[in-house]
Order: sequence, then C-alpha cells, then structure tokens
Amino acid sequence: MTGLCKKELYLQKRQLTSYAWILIVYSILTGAGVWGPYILTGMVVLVGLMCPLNAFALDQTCRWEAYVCTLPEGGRNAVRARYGVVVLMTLGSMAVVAADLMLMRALGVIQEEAGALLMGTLASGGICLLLTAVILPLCYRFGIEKGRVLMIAVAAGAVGTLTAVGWLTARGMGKVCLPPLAALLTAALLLLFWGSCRLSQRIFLAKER
Amino acid sequence: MSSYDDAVSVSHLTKDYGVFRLEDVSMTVPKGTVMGLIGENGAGKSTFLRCLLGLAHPDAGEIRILGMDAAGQRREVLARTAVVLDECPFHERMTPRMVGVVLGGACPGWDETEFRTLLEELELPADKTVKEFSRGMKMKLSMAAALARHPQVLLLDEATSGLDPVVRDHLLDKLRDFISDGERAVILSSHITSDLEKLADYVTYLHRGRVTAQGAKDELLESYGRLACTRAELAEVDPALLAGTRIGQFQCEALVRDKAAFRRRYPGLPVDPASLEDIMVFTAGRDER
Repeated sequence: MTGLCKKELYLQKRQLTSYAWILIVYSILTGAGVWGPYILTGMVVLVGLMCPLNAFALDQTCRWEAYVCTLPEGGRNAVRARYGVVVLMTLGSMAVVAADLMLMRALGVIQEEAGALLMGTLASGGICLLLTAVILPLCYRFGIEKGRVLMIAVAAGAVGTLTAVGWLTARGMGKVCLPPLAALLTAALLLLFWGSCRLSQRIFLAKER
Repeated sequence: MSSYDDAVSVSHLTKDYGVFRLEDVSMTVPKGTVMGLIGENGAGKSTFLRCLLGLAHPDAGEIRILGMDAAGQRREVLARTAVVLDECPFHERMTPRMVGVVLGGACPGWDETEFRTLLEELELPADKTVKEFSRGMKMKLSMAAALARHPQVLLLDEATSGLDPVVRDHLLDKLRDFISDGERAVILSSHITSDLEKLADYVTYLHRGRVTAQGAKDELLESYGRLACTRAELAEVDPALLAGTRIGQFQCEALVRDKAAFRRRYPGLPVDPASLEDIMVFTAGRDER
C-alpha cells in the first residue's frame, strides 16, 4: 500500500506549490487587516478537500482505476491510500497553518488568543475530515463530475450547520462542557471516516471497468 | 511440479450488457504458449479479458487461471498475472522512476532491478514524464511494468495498436522471451492479425461475442483457404464448404473452410492459403450481407 500512497502524494506535488502561495498571500492580507485570521484555518479545509478531488480528476485522464484493480488487493489498497493521504494532507495543512498563525501572533500581526487559534485550526481539520468522509463515497459512486456538484451541496450544508451553531453559541446556548464533547465528536468523526473508507472500498470494487 | 497443464482455462463464459452479449466462450491456453484473440472492433475481446481479470463480473461460466478459480482466489491469481492495457495507465506527471517506486510498494514480487534493466533495454529515460513520451514509449513502459512483476500469465489488450512496426516487433520479441521457459502463457488480443501470425500458437476468433473459429494457428491457416473464381464457378460450389464470400463485378472471392477437402472435390478451382485477416474479413463480411 505504501506505493499507492506515494502515487497519491506524487499527484499532489504541483498543488502544494499553489497552496503555499495561497497561504503566503492570505497571511499577508490577514496581517494587513483585510480579514480575520480564521480565514487561514479555512485553508485546512481547502487542502483536505481538493487533494482527493484532484486525484479523482487525474485518475480519469488515464486507465489507472482499471489498472490498479488488476494488482493484488489493488482496489482496496487504492481506496485506503486515498483516505490515508487525505488524513496526511489534513494533518500537514493543520500543522502548517497553526505554525503560520503562531508566527503571526508572535510577530504581533494578529492579537487573537493562541488557544482560540489552535482550536479553530483543529476544528477546521475536523470539518475537513467530516466533509471528505461524506464526499469521497459519493465521488466513488457517481464520479468526479457529479461529485463536485454534490460537494457544493455538502459544503453548503456544513457551512449552514456551523453558522447555526455559531448563532446558538453567541446566544449562550452552546455553554456545554467542551472536553467530553470534543472527545465524543472526535470518536464519532473517526468512526465515520473509517465507515466511509469501507463504503468507498465496496463501491470501488463493485464497479465494472 | 505444477498440478495443472493449462495456464488459463475458460468454460462457457457469458456476459450480457443488453446491447452486447459475450456468449458461451470457451478456451484453454496451455503453459508455454501464446493465445491470439482476434476479432473486429466490438467483437468482445476486451470484455473477455476484463472478465478474466475480474474487472467485469461474468453472468455465467468458469474461469481458472494457473489452476485457481479466478473469482474465488482473485488475490492469488492477480499476484501471478500482469496486464498491458491499450492505454498507458500511468499519469502524465509520473516518470518511469516514480512508476517503479509506486509499483514496488504495491506489488508483491516486484523486481526493481529487472524494471531498470528493461527501461534501459527499451530505451526509456527514467526521469522523463509520461507526458513527454510517444505512444510507443508509453506502451513500452506498460510492458516493462508488467514484466518486472515476473507474472506467470500476461494479458495484453490491444497493446500493439497504433504502434509502428519497429516498436511492435520489439514488443513481440519481449513476448517470445517471456514464454521461452515453457511455464508461462500470454493472451494477446489484437486486430493486427500479422502480429498474431508471427507470435501466436493458438488463435481464437471472436465475432459479435461468439467464438467463430478456434484452434492451433498453423492448423487454422492450413485448413482455411482463399478461392478466387468467376460468378459461374462460385455458383457451382456447395455453399456449405464456404465460410464467406465476396462477389465482385469481375471476380469472386470466397473463404474455404477445409482446403484439402475442397481441392479433392473441385480440383479445377485454385485455392490459395488464407491469412488470419482473410478469416476475419470474410467471416465478418458474411454476417453483414
């Protein structure tokens, strides 16, 4: 499976340069006060979502999907590798964004609390994994063209939910004990991600090529 | 010692797509041989190979590869089988070196040394992207990736289509080397019949999803013949002896099933040797009239 993970990473190489430039530009604009620092945490979601969608699109340009299914355990491992690289890219972008925010705070460019910035980055990572857990099986089932449309619907639903949560929190209705809630959400997210991977494997292997 | 004589054994394979049906296809490929699968476009060659590889799920029939059930022991079968598809499956951004790294971490039994040797032999630059390769170079890369897995069965789906004669000849040489140990087997699907005449030991001709002709290549070519005659002469011939006819304004041509028997019955009519292409063209043409 390591080879298939490397294949996924090879395909992301060019995109990493683009993401780096986006991060630099957004950081400059954040430092200039154009928008708040939490826009940078949105990059975590951007990288985590675009990574597999990009891979799906590139797989369609050649007969990779058919070919990988002719390797022993190739289909199953190809799906595992895609999910694994999503987690890797999400964690990596979380680390980079968190480091960027801490650096900006240390330089006095932003004044938000470090804890809040890190929580925001962590929450974005969780949202990214949640979105990919929903979107990836849809992409495997319907293909990348329909998958993109479905992604917009899922992302809109997630944004709406978060907005509602934010509205409730602002009105004092979100005062719950955070650590147990965070632990519960993390466990639920991991379970959902694992289930999503299993579902995607089943869909991928059932397809005829 | 191997407990099976046939590298590939297919019995009554059927696959129905509604608009197209692969019907009751049976074949055996002995070890140490090359099976040529010929047929016009849309005959079912790729469907047949996809069923062998598990990329399509047959509606009926049994497939055994290296003595193993292809469906029930898929992992074991795929570990000993390699495929060369009609298009290069590697992304344009990848280089042969990256392909080696990817497949080395994905395929048990991958031989990186053999892969590099093949890249050198086939004159493929290890650090050039697939995007910069010609079609011939891409197929050579696919072939190198397949051979570096040391498979026992090699399946090629129209792998030589669109290649120039020099590249095709080079790839056919690699296939000859591959089966030279007498333990491995190749199924080569192609509509370039001249390649199969050079390489194949056995031939199966698929036409509209059915096996129309099958057997040892030399026996098929020895059996079939090509008749050239006038309309009047053709009218005298028993149609049961003919596998297809082409009636022209000045001359008629026909494919004779059994050359020897035809010559005994019609000693005055000249029958020339037929090629695999003749068998394909005349048989397909017969159904279109």
